Amino acid sequence: MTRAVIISYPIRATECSTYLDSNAYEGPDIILCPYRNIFRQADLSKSYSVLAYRNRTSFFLSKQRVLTTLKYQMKHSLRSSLVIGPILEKIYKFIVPRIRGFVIKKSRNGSGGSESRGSWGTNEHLLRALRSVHHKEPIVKIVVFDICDLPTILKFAEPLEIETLIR
Amino acid sequence: MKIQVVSPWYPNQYSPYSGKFVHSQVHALIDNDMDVTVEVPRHMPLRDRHVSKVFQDSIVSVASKNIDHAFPTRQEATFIPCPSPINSGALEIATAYETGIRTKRDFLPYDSDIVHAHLVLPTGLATKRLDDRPIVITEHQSNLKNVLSDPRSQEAYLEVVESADVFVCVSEFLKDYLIDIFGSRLSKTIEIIPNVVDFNSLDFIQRERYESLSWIYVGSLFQHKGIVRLLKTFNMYKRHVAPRATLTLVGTGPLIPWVEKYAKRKGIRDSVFLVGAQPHENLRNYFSKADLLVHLSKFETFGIVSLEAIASGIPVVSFHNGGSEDTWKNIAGLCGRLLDDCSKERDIVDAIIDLTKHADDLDLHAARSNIKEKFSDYAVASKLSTIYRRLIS
Repeated sequence: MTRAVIISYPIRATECSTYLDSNAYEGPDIILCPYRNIFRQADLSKSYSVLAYRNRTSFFLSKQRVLTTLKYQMKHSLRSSLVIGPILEKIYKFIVPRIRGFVIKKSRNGSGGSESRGSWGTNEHLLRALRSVHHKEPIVKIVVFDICDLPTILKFAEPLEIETLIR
Repeated sequence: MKIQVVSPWYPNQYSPYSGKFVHSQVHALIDNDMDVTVEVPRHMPLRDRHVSKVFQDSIVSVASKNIDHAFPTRQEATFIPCPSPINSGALEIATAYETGIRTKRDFLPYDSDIVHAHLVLPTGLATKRLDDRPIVITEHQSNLKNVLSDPRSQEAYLEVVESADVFVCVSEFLKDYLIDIFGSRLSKTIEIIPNVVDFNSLDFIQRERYESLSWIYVGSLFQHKGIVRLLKTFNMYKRHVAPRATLTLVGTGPLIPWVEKYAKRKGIRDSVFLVGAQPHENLRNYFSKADLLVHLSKFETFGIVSLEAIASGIPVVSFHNGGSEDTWKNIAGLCGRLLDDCSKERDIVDAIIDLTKHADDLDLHAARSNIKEKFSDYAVASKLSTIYRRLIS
C-alpha cells in the first residue's frame, strides 16, 4: 500500500521533504518527479525512493522545457554574479519582452487567432509512471505538490478511487 | 469582532518560517479577544502561459470529496492553492488568488466584519474584487520596488490603495517611499502600524563580552539582501582582523551555490555555516550562539530581523535601509552601527572593529526595552483594534 508524492518544480522540494518527515506513513513512500535534480538543494532523507519519470532524451524533446531551463539558468547566473549581472539582466528584461511581443504578434497574424489558449495536455510520462508503480504495489494515497499535474493525477486516481491531497 | 485576514505568507507545518510576522499579528489579535481566521492563497506555477479551467475544476473535484484535501485548515489558517502561469506578474497572481479564494469560499463560507489583506498586490487587489466588506490593507513587502517597476502594476496598486477603507504601512519610510512614487495622485491617508516583534519567543542573553567573532545573518539569500557584500566583508574581516570568526547564514535562496563556491575559493568554507531556513522557534538557539548580526540589505520596509537580534541581546551592523530609520536609528548607539548604504567592505570592517572596541558603550538591555514599547504584540494589537473599531462604528 504505497503513498505516492508528486512534485513538479524544485521550488517546493524543501517543503515536500519537510512534509514527508513530519507526516510519517506506515507503508512505502515513493516520490515521482520529472528529474531527480529537483531535490538538488533539498535535504531529502535517503529512506524515500525517488522515481524520475523523464529522461535526458525527453528533456531535449521538449522545446518549452529547454527554453525555460535556459532562461532560469541565465537568470540564476546573472543574479549570482557580482557587478555586471544586474546590468545584463536589465538589458535582457528590456530586449526580450519586445522581441517576444513582436514574435507573438506575428504568429497571431499568421494563425488568425489563439486556438491553443486554455489548452491542456495529459502528462503521459507521469501517467505511465503512476500506472507502473500502481501495478507493482497498489497506490492508496497521492499527495500533490504542484497543481500543473493535478489533472493528469486525477485522470489516474479517480477511476481507482485513490485518495488525493493537495499540499 | 470577526476579522478575516488574507495573507500569501503564513507558517505551516512544512514551511514554518514563512510569514511569521503575520502570524504574530494574528495571535496578538486573538489574545485581544478577536475572532480571527486566515486565508492563505498560495501561488502554484503552471507550465502553460494561460490558465485552463481544467486546473480549477481539478481542485474543485478534490475538494468535493474532502474539503481538507484541497483546502487544508490548520488552527486559524486555511491554505488555498492558486494556479497561475510560471512567470506570472503581480496582476496575474492577483487573478489567480481571486479565483482560488472564491472557490475556497464556495466550500468554506466565511462570516467576518472586516477583511484585512496583507500586501496591496497581489492580495489586496484579489480581496477588493471579492469583498464588499470594509477592507484594511497592510503593505510590508520588501520586493515592492520590483512590483512597482511595471506601469500596469503601478496603476492597479494606486487604484487598490485608494479604494481600501484603511491603508496601513509598517514604517514611515515605506509611506514616504510610496508618496515619492505616486505624488499627488495618492490622496489616501496612510496609517502607520509596525510589525510585531515576537519578544516572547526571543530570550535576552546578556553577553560577557562582544567580540564580534560569531556573525549571523537571517533572511533570504538573494542578491538584493546584500549577501555578496556580506561574504566579501566577512572574508576581509577573517583574513585581516579575526581568523577565528565564523558566519552563520540562516535562510535559503538562489545564492546558496554562489556562497558555497565563494567560501571554498577563499578558503573559508569551514567558517561559513549554511543552516537553511529555520522555524522561528529555532532562531533563539542560533541567536544564543551569535554575537553580531550583520545585515547589508539596502532596502527593507521594516527590517524585523535586526529588531529580533537586538531583542536577543545581539548588536547589529546594518545599512541605513529604510526600515532601520523608523525602528532603531534613534538607539543605534546602544545596540550597533548604522552605515551608509554605499559603504565598502573596508568601511564595514572598520565599523565592526570600532563596535568591538567600544563594546562597553553598548546597552542591549535598554535597547530591548525601547523597542518593546513600540513593537510588542500588545502595542500593535491595540493600534489595530482601534482601527477595526473605528471602521465598524
